[in-house]
Amino acid sequence: MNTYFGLFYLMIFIVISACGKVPTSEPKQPIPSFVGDFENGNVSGFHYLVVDTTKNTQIVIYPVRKGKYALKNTLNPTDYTNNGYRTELAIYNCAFYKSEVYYAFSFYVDSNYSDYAYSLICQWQDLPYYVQGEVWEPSPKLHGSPPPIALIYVNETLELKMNDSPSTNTKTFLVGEPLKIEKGKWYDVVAHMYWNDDNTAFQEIWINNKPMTPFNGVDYKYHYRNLYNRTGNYFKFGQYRGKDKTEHTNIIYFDEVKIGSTYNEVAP
Amino acid sequence: MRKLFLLCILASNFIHSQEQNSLKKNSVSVDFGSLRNRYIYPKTDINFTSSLIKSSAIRVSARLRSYGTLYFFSKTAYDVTPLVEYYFSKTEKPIYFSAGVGLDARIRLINDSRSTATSSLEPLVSLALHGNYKKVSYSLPLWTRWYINGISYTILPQINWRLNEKNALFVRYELNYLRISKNVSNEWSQDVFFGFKKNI
Repeated sequence: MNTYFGLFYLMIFIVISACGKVPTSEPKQPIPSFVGDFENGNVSGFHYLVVDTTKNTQIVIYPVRKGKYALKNTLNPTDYTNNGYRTELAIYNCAFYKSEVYYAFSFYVDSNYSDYAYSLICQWQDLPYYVQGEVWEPSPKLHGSPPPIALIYVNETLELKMNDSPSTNTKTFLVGEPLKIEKGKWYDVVAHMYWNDDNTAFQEIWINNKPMTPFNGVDYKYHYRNLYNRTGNYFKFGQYRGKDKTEHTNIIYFDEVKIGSTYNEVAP
Repeated sequence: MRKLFLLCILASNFIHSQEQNSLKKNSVSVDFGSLRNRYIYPKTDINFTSSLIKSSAIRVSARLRSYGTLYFFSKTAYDVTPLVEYYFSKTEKPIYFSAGVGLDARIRLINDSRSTATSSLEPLVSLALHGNYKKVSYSLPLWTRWYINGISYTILPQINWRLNEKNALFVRYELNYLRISKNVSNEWSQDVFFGFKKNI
C-alpha cells in the first residue's frame, strides 16, 4: 500500500514541479508594427551601436524622403564600438521564428561618399540561442560570422548577400545581381521575409518598387534558410565595416524606417 | 570458431568487470563540449555519482552544466541536475538497467532585453541501459522532462575507455527532441562532449 502512495505522490510531484517552458522558441510570435520616420525630431525608439549619438546620428531637414526630417548617419575612420567600425541603429524583437514580416527604409548616399570598400547598410543579425543557455561572447569564442542576410553598399553598387555558415566568414554568397547606386538620390527598400531555420524561409526584396531578388518561375521569393537558430534575428541599419577601418568619413541618410505585416503598411 | 573466440573474450571481460565493480565506488567526471547543431558552442559539465548506497541498489548523482565557457565558471547560465536511480543489478554486467527520477534546474542569469530565457525547474525521469567490458563500459540513458507547455526526450549514449582502475576517458553524444504541445512545434538538437572520469 505504501508503494502505491509513494507512486501517487511521485506523480503529483512530477505534474506540479514543471514550472518552465520547453527550451525552444514558439513559432509565429506576433511582431508589433514599428514606425521610425524621425518626424518627432529625434532618434528615439532605436537601440544604438554608435560611438557618439550627437555626432554620428543627427536629425536633418535636408535631404528628406518624406515629411520634415531624416537621419544623417556618419561613420568616421575612428568610430569603433562593439567590436567593429560602425554607426548603427537597431530594432529588437522584430524577426521571430516562423514569422512573416515586411521591413522598409529609404537611404540616400551622400554625394561626397568616397570609399569603394564594403559597408553593410542594413542587416538582419542572428542572436544567441538564449533559451538553450547561449550568450554573446562565450569564452573562448568559437564561432562568429557575417549575419544571415545583409544589404551591402560596395563599389557604388548595392548587393544582397546571405551567409551559409554561422561558423566562418567564407561562406557568404550573392543573391540576384548587384544594383548600381547613384549618389545624391533616394532609394526605397522593402523587404518581405519569412524567418525559418530551414529552406522554407524566404526573402523577397524590392528597390524602388522593382524586385532585387531573382525570379523563381512563380514570384521573387528567394528560398533559403535565414535563421541560425530559433531565437530569431534583429534588424540593424546604418553603416557597418566589421574590423576594416573606413578610409574617409562617410555619410548616408535614412528615412521612413518601418516594420509591419503588409507591403502597403511599410512602403513609403 | 570466430563466434566462440568472441564469446570467450566477452566472458573474460565479464569476469574481469566483476572484480572491479565501479558501482561500489564514487566517481567524479568533467567534460567539455560541444558541437552543436550548426556551430561550435562551449559547454562544460561536472558530474558526481555516488556508489550504491549500502544495503540498497540506489545511487545518487548530480550534474552541474555551465554554458558559454570551457572553464566551468559562467556568469550567465547553469543547469543543475540531481538524480536518484535504482539499479536492477548490484554488480556490473555486459547489460544491466537502471531507472530514476530527478530534477533539472535551469538557472539563467542573462541580462539582455532580446532574451526570453528564464530560470525554471522541471521533473526528470531516467531509464538507462548500462554495460561493462574489460576496457570499455557504456551507458545509454533516456531522459524525459516535463514542461508546462510540452515535453522533451534526450538520449545520452556514453562510452568510457578505462585507462586504469581509477581513471577513464569518455565521449558522450546527446540528442534532444523538444516538443511544444500547443501551437505544435518540434526541434531536434545535438551536442558532443569529451571528458575524464575518476573513481574516488
